[in-house]
Amino acid sequence: MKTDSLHILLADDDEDDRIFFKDAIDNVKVNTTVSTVIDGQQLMEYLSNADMSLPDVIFLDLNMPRKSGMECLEEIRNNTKLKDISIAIYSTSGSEDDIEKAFLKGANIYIRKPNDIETLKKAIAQVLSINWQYHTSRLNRENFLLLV
Amino acid sequence: MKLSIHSSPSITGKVVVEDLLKVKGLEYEFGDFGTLSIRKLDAEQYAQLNAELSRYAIDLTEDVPNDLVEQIKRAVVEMVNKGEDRPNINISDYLSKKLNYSYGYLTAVFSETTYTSIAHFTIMQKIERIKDMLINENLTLTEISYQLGYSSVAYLSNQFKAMTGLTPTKFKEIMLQKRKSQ
Repeated sequence: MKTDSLHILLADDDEDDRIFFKDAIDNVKVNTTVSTVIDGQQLMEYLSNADMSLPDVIFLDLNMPRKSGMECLEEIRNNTKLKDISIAIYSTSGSEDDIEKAFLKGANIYIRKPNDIETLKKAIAQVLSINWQYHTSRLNRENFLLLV
Repeated sequence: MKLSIHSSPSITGKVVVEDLLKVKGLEYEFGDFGTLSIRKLDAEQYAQLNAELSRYAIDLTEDVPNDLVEQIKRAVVEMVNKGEDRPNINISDYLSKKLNYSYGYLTAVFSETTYTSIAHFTIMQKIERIKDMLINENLTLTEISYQLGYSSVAYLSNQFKAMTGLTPTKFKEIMLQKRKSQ
């Protein structure tokens, strides 16, 4: 059990969005280290690189070039080495179908991306706080579904 | 020749302890603020270490705040899982009685390392218990709300939705579908 800090990997092709997210993450009380990749292919390369320490949570944008968030999600969930990583999908789509599909493919968290930073900060705080409890309190990760 | 001794207790302490741990072949790691974690240390080894360190006036004590957080978590989980047999008192009285500290002290210690409050942690544990009852024990919301001491199904559903973003029914539906596809 690691109790020092939460390693977050952020996968998003849009630079503004990455800054937006990092800003929101920095705002949270939980200790975090954040790494970033800029598309799905780079994400999978990162995760298969044995020299990199695996993240505790991946924030995954659904719409990315080269390899979409959904494709990454499927690949990650089919790899037993990566099964303990929490996956937070985020998308501007709030359609019930997209949300269900993401959960069924193994996402733990679905964030309906808000337009303003304050709402995003609140959402990220909730996500990280709950994720931290799963991380430190031996909760059953199989039942971990969160929609914000 | 008359000499005076200058030393730094924190460095001396660390070096002495480290040498002793190496001799004993224990796995250890130093943390911040004079803390130390030792892997696999039984009560006898712990007593032995302290006995040997006492001649340097060094004393190892268990890290109480952290340990207390663990005790609080265990007590909360125990209380939540008691079901119908749970004592008819609220969590704050239960904890302060069981652990012999004021609730104010307990919440302060708890929040510092868990980034959440005892109240929030308790709700979270209840939600986890509800999830389990929904999908593994196949209980109805009425049965669950009775067993966990909720005043109504509506209250339980609202709390579930607030914590997970999903209604209990939707959660169950997704989890069962997920199981089928695996």
